[in-house]
Amino acid sequence: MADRDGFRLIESKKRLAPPEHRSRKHAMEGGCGVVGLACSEQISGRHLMQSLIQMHNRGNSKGGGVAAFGLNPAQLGVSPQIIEEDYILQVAYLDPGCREEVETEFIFSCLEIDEHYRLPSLSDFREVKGLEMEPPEVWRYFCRVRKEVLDHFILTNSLETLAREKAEEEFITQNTFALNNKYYSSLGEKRAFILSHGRNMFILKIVGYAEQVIEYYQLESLEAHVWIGHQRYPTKGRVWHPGGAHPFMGMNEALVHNGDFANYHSIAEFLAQRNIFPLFLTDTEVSVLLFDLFHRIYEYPLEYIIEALAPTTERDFHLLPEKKKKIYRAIQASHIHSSPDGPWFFIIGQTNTREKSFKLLGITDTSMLRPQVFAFQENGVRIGLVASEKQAIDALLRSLHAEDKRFLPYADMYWNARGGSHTDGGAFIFSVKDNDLTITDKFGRRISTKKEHDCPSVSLSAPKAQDREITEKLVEFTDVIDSRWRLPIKERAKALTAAESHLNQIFLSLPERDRTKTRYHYTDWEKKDTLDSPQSEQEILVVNCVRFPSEGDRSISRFMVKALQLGWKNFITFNWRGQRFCGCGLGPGSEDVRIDVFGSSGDYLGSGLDGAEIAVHESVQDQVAQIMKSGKLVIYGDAGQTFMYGAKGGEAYVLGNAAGRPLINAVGAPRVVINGTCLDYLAESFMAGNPLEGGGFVVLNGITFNPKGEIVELDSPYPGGNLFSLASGGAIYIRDPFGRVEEGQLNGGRLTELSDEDWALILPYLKENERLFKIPVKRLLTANGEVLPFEKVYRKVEAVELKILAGIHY
Amino acid sequence: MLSRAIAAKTWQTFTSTGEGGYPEELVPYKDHVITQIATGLFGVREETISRAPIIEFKYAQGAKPGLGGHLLGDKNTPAVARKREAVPWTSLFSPFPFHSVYSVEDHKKHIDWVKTINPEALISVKVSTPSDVDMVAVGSYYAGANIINLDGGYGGTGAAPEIAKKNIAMPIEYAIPKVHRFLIEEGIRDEIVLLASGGIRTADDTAKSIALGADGVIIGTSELVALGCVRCGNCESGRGCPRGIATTDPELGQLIDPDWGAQRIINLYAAWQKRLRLLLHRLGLKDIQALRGRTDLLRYSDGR
Repeated sequence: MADRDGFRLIESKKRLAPPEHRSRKHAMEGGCGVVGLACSEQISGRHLMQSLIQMHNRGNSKGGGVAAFGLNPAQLGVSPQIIEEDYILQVAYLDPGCREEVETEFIFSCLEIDEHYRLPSLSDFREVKGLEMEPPEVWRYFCRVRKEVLDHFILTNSLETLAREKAEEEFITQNTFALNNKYYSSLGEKRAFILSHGRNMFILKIVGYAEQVIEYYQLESLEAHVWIGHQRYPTKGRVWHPGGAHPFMGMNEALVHNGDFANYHSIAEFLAQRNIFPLFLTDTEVSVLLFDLFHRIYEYPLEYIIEALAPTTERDFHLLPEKKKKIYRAIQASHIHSSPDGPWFFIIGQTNTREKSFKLLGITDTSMLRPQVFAFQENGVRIGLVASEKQAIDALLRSLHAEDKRFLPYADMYWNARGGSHTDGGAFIFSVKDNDLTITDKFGRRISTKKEHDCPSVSLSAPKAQDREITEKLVEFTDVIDSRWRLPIKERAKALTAAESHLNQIFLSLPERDRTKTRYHYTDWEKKDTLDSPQSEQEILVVNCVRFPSEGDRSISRFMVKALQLGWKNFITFNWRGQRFCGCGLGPGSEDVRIDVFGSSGDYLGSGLDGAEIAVHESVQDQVAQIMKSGKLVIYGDAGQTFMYGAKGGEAYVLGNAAGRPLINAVGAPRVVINGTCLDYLAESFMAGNPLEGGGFVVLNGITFNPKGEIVELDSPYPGGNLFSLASGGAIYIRDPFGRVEEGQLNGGRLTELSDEDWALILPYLKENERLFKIPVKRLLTANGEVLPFEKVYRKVEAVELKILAGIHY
Repeated sequence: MLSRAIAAKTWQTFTSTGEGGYPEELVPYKDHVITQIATGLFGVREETISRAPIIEFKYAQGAKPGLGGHLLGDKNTPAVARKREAVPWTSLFSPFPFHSVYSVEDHKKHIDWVKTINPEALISVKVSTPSDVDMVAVGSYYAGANIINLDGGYGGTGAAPEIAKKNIAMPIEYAIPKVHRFLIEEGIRDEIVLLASGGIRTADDTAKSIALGADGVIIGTSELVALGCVRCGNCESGRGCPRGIATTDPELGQLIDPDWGAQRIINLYAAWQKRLRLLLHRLGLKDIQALRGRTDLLRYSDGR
């Protein structure tokens, strides 16, 4: 674009009258659940449904929506050329009677319509279970701007230097604004509004749950390369207007948001200075308006857009190359008032007309205050996913797997973004182009998904019938699951899927067996009310968790408490579908309780653990083991946010990484081994006394498994800038043979050498770590092929007396 | 602390543990003890959650909105440190947010969690008074709270920076009617209990709060005054309290005999009850509940 083109586009918006209600109070977004997928092949809408259903408890049915990109022209009743060149205008007529006048004024008058029709939907909205408000009638128009109208627009606004397409896009957005302003003033009569107007994409949203959109508008078989979905939880009002639901539209983008902005007014002012006005009175809308401004009008590269939204700060900023520092500094100065402040996580779907690709972006705010998980799988088809909860991703994959065995119910890899960082920039982008999918981070660095050389598939024999052999088989298959990290990356999901399937078969065959001849007693949602006491303490209760609600009196967690009260001490629980609070409510004195968890468990697992032992044969989600007092937790995977927040004791072993704020505000004597690393804020405000005198500590090994399955060091055992902040007790033993952790990363602690006593303290835990995860202590003590003494490999971060904590008088 | 518990039991009401944890000495009174879960999660265990009839999430306090609890170093005696399982003589600051709650659906999760551990308990949410306190109240209700406790800025505090006291958030006189009316508009006013606190000093203050729209009040400093507090403002230091009330010092803590203290607080409630009955009588009302929301019975006097 020529110089000043962006300015001219902004000037051209002046003819639009800003909405009357500018000064009125906007609604607060609160919580939500978000999910997105991008696939090298087109995926049907029904697969999104299960993951949306499983995020019900993140929404309150006051709004839900989906968006799809990379559509199938035949399904939409148009030619491939039309899909590629036309804008798809979707208009929701809340008052069908106004359609004629709307079309006359805003559609037929200025747009050339190649095709238009009413969207199919169920004949009676009440057919959708639980849907209370009738969704609007929606019409779809495939259009271009009329030549003479566009010519006139370009002439009047001096847009001759622009590519014609850019002027056309601007016209479309202005036309949409005018229509929405007139027919959908949020406080007056809502009669019609445009849901989306981008190319090869559409948005649909209602007052209800997101999956009800798919049901009502019959999108189950509709195929697209990229989908995003949103369950809304606004904090105000009884009846809501669909215009306030997510996704919100840019030009060719749709955005969904989990979180809150503190500076909505500041951003609204910034936009107002550029003649851009939000119309739907919800804070999320401004974020996509910002994105559109940066992307389409200012034409910032994606990296700069992300920097403007989520600036790089503190130590991460210092670690940037000089050239980047300069430009980032300029971006930050320009955008200090237009950077959304508050916890937020965005998922954006986009038809990128420049690159001719479809994109799925996940961007987290710099402080990483909202949950986010990314995932990728390749097994003949390449699929990328992002969501608020890992279990939502698993649910989507499971739905695909049920129909197409190329998809496995677990991804090859899961990871979190580190907000505002120099490492990944807090954002990951999945791009689908020419039926291939690539992953990049904010800096455009490609994330390698290269599969290593072929390895023989893991073959698992079929289960046999005897009880003795059941135990053997359980151990065998559990071991496959627990050790899958040792396999080449392409085999891990397959091994997990196969082993889990075999285990499930065994468990499901149990009811046929004679109760007196087996230790294993099966129960599930149907049988739960007939549960009686075990015949001996060795009996094992095998619980099929599918169908149990996530919370409440009839939840799986309350059921386990009841079982405990009946006398059960040993539990094998499987088919977890994201339910929460596993292992909560067991109370103190539960030392002889043992729980095994298979499947996708939900948040708050083991929070309050006081004696029992829980082994989770998969990753766990957020808020796990909070206030844990005693007992043992073993996680064969990663942990999410605020792991062991406020913990007071007990032992925990994590095979992979922990996310943000692990062990924050922990006291007493928790003893934890984390083999991977953390996002940041590890052990902030740790108060766990002196580890050498019975206090608590964390051992951080900073290792991972490379695509071949070998143990390798991470680039740094701890990448963040806030290690052990403001701690007054406890210690971190960090495996750092190459000295990559520096004082600058601490915030009130100090790095020292381990003493013999320190080593004697942590060695038993490392040995247990070895036994559980097969990570040899010897390997941990090896660096560059050489076995070193412990003091050359591990460093200790300990508390110092801090002035701020030493008792100030106000 | 024991005095307050004894008084609460006698009058069939409740006292709260505050955020430091649930001392063993209060266990005999557990049916009248509210346990508080604050942002530092001090002393919170499944055990303490299970025994309480009401569980209070302390998101904020009126004396210093936006800040967490402060226990300064010289009050963090070895006994206190043991209860909180922290390092003695260091200052203990609770963080300003719950690190696990950054959004309303997180708040719902939080409440669901506690209900999993103790399904019978009532849930109370203690907040200060930001400008959107009405939305906070409604959001809390939908997340499962039974009681909302608005803590205004006139409240006492053990320790708070001068700049925070009375300078942040909305006065309670605005907050109560705001929340009361919003809850009515939402149609849920009778589904949730609205309690006010922060500077409730007399029976008249109680009546005014109820007339503004509250269902009841929570008192703090008043009870201390009943025990002999002279409001010298030295609460935050270890041995500063001349009456041995706001202290963790083992020697000074002996100054108050629990039974004597209990009687003083019982007398306080009795005096208030008398005064409230008189007020209701004068107003022609038969029941204190009839006073709720009767702002027409209030007259604004601008100090003259």
